[in-house]
Amino acid sequence: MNLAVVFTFLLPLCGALINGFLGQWFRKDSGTVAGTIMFGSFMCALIAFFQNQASPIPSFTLWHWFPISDTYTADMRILVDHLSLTMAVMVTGVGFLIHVFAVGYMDHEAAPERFFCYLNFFVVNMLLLVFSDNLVMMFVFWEGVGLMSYLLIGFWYYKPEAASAGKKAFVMNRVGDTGFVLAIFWLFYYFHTFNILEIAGKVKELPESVVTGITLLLFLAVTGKSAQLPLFTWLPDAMEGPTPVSALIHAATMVTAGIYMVTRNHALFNLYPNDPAHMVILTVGALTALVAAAIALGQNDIKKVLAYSTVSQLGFMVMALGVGCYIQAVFHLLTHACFKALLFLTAGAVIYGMHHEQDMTKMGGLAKRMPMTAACFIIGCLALAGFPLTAGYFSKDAILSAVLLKDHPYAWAAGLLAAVFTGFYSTRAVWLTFFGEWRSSHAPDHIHETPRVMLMPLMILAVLALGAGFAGWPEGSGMLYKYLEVTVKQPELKGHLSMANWLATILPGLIGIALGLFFYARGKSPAPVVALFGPIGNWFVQKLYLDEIYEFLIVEPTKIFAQACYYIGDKAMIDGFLHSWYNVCAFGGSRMRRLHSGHLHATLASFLAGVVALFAYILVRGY
Amino acid sequence: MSSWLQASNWLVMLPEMIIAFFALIILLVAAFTKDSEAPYPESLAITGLALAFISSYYIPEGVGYYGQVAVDSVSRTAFSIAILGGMLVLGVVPSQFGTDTMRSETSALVLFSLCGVGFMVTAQHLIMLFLGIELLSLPLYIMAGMRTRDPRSREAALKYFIVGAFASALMLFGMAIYLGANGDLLMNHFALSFQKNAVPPTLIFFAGWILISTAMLFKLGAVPFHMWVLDVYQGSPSSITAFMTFAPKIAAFFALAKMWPLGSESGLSTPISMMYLLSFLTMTAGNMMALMQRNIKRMLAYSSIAHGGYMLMAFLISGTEGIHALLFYLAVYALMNIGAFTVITLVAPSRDPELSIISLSGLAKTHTYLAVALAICLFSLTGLPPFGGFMAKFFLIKAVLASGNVYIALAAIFNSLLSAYYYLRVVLVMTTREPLAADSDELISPSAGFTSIGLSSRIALAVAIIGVVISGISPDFFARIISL
Amino acid sequence: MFFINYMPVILMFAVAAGFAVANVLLSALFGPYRASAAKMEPYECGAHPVGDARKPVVTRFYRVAMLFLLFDVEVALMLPVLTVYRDYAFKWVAFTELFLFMALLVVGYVYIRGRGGLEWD
Repeated sequence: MNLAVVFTFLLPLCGALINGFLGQWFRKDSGTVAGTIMFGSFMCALIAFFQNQASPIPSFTLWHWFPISDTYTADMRILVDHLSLTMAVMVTGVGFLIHVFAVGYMDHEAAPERFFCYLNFFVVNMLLLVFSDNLVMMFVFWEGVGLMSYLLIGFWYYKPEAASAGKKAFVMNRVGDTGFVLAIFWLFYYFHTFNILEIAGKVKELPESVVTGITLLLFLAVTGKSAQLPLFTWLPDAMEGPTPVSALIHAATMVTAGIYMVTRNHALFNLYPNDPAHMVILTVGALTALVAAAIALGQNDIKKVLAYSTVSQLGFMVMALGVGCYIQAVFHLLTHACFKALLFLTAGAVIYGMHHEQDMTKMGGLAKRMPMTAACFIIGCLALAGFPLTAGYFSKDAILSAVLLKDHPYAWAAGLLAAVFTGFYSTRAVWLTFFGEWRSSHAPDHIHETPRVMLMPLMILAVLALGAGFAGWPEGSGMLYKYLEVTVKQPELKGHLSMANWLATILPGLIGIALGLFFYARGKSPAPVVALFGPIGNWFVQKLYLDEIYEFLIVEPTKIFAQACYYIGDKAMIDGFLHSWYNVCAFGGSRMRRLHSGHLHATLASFLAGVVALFAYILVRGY
Repeated sequence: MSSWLQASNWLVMLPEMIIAFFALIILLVAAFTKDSEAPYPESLAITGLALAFISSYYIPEGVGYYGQVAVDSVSRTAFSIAILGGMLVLGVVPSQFGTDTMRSETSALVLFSLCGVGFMVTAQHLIMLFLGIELLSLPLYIMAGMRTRDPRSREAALKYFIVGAFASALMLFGMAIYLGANGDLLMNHFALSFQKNAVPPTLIFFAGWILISTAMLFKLGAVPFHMWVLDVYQGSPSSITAFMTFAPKIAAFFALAKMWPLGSESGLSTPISMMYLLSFLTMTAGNMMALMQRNIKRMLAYSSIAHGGYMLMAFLISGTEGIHALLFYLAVYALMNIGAFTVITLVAPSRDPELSIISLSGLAKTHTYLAVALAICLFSLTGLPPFGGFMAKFFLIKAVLASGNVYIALAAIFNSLLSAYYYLRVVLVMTTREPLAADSDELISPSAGFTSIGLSSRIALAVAIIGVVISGISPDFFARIISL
Repeated sequence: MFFINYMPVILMFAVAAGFAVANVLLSALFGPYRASAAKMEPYECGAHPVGDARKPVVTRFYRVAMLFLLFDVEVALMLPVLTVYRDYAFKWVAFTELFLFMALLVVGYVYIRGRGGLEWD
């Protein structure tokens, strides 16, 4: 037992239970309770982090769950190593800051205890997912975070959009989870264990085709949870949830679970680095990064921009996974958690100040009224765009140069283009929101600076968004690399980038920013994207017609297929089977019901008949 | 004097003695107080049960009372489960009977009945077993009719009594034959006769064996000895029904385990195939009939028959694994039923007295906590993770599969599938239907139902639900609690 | 003759039957015969035999009768114990247990009195 680790997830569990069962008696303070508890949890995570620096820490069993075979028991077992500790510190740290922000953000809510109960419970699930020692436990909490995400997206369940967005997230994730379950079964078939480290030890016995199959199935789960093509459309819809939820779950933690899962199973992925699965992963990552960044160009809803930008950044991380650079992916995951949480929270502060107006075309000039918020947002956008020496710069640069060093120039080029787009839409978002003129029909008088309880977390996150990148500097041998290398064994990168290539990885962000400034900072009223890019701009606004393409290519055929399945599979076979089974049983039941009249003589007669039948059975059959 | 104390080793019966002592104390107290000013007889009863439970930690395992009873880890665990279940039921009893009727008597009768369970699971002699079965049953007959103004309750009592007397008569007949076949009534003749390579028992022995086993099968409600279950469960007061679902089952299962060859250990094929048939018939008929029910208590009665059928599969497994799976199943089963019937007890006053399933409409809106509790019990009865019912079925079916009986395991799985239909229908009714007009005016806030409930039944319900959840999440821990 | 061996049993049956028959006959022959309406009723317990069968029955009588039977049978149970255990090695055990048994009966009796089981009204 490692007490600090145990308390890291035990405290939020207590918080969830307290808020869930007793919260109705201290509604106003439920946020404070949850926040305090999260602070404790964060402290425990830090203690665990520093206590367990040196030696490998033995994993320990919380309790035995159930025996699966004679040799293997599915346990609740905690795996403490450098990777899980890093993730735990990030989850609790960002989680704590977001809890504090939420105290301010949810103060008009009628039943905040429900919100904080879910939020705490999400943290528990996420931590246990991170600490999972075996795949079954990981899957349980993988589903657990999905459930909490569903509940939190639909927190305002009386809004039909929120309810259906929650449902969409849940259903799309199921598609990916099927892959996860199949991969787990497949691994168990070969190894008779779910333990991740044991599997990693034995994994060399597997033939290449099997590894490719398993990794592809696992990656299917990643596309669901981490919102990659083609399963990413749930993430923008998930913005219906309260903004702290978007920051915590749909930017910083849950959506990165896929990245974490692949990193955790890196032994499996490392085995055949040139198999088709890696090609698929790299391609999907690059395409997602590019497509999502392009869509973000055309969005007017501030949270939608950030959502697509999250998808795009996750695409970068998946690219890194595709070339086997897990530490780079985790590095970007960490910096992204800082600056994207910052961006979402500042967006939340703006939305809070604007009384739930999210359309950027109706904002403008807010920098004068909420200068601190504006500063934080600009810092976040700089980090997102990869402005030199901010956190995003180091991590994105690490990924792009790794991709190039692994000799994937097309993916690299796609990444560069995505980086240009990123710089552009970041600048656009900053300018539309905070500069220029006030464009809404309402008077801007009521808009004022964010309350202090919400501003504090913003400032801390802003510092992190500026400075966190130095953890991974210099590239390949920085603090973070040294620390994670103990756990994550990845092939070393060979060679160095030429100066030109190096410049090429810095410049796109700057170019994007410059373009954005060029188009938006000149005029008083911003030109719509369509005017800037002509017909292509219309594509961006219409999300590259992806919804329509999906509609045409996937939804319609799927609907026809689904209809066929419904009538042939569901109605005829499953329902047919179940209903005929039911009918047989019900018929039998109705016949038998006549016997069960409740008459005493019937009862006694059946009793006696039973005795006679048993006698007859022995007499006929012998013994 | 000390020599006969040693020879009798009466200490093995200490828990039963404590329980009986407290039952007598309750009766004496009741003799000098009026019902309305009864000083919480349940608390006295629960104290007694707690003492008995603790004492069972310390009593030695072994044979006692001139070889009439024997305590081993299995019988001790079985008895502890019954005692713990009895404590929970006693917590619910006050809500059922209010302050005016027969609470002292009910408490004392529950204790006497548990005493009978203790004798049955430890009995080594058929006379002791018979005493146990009567001591278990007679209080149950009375308690079934405790709601004297309700014709259904009276009907239940009378039917239970008559059928029970019939079963006792058959058992006595069987005992007479057994005496003729073996020369005495010691129960170890069963084990000796079913040993591998033993001299094959005579037909007359089998005749006695069948008649005595029949009485046990009757107690646990196996088809075709099950018909009393419906009217009795439906007519009895709900909290008493909760007690009836597990106490006689525990006693009968572990008495039967002493007289039935487990799995293939005897080398005789007839007992196995007989149990195969009985188990299949019981689970299938129970589930099929449960599908047709419109009354929640009748539905749960059939469901308890079906669960009895699943549990009978344990006799197809040789060795201790089946018995351990059975113990776990019974413990979880007791908790699930206590939970479900407690909720029924608590909502019954505000719903229609017949307790049709439809009358639970909108329970999720009017009594949120109770609806959640009932839903957890029903999910668990269906066998869904992460609740105890899943683990219980998992352990049992795994052991059955390991023993090579594939078809009966498949039958159990298909039956569980079927059972989802009627269990989840109740959940559907509770959550999706609007509350019936009659209820909606008196029950306003979600916690309204909660405040009007006595504290003790609240605690009992909470303990039962926590038990159901814990047994699903950490079966090891749960097993450690119940098995001392 | 075969039946000679069972003579005591046959005799016992004969005496028992003779005792019953003789009592009935003797009382019919020598008893004074004074008829009254109440005495002509079929049931001497007081139940009225004519009229609707479905009517409330006063159960006081049965309750007392049942309690009487209960104690009667329990006491009757002691006689065989005494005779069988007289020569038993642990006869003091049996003796103690009979006292325990009596104590239980007393508890039952106290309970019945306390709950008013023997009160007529």
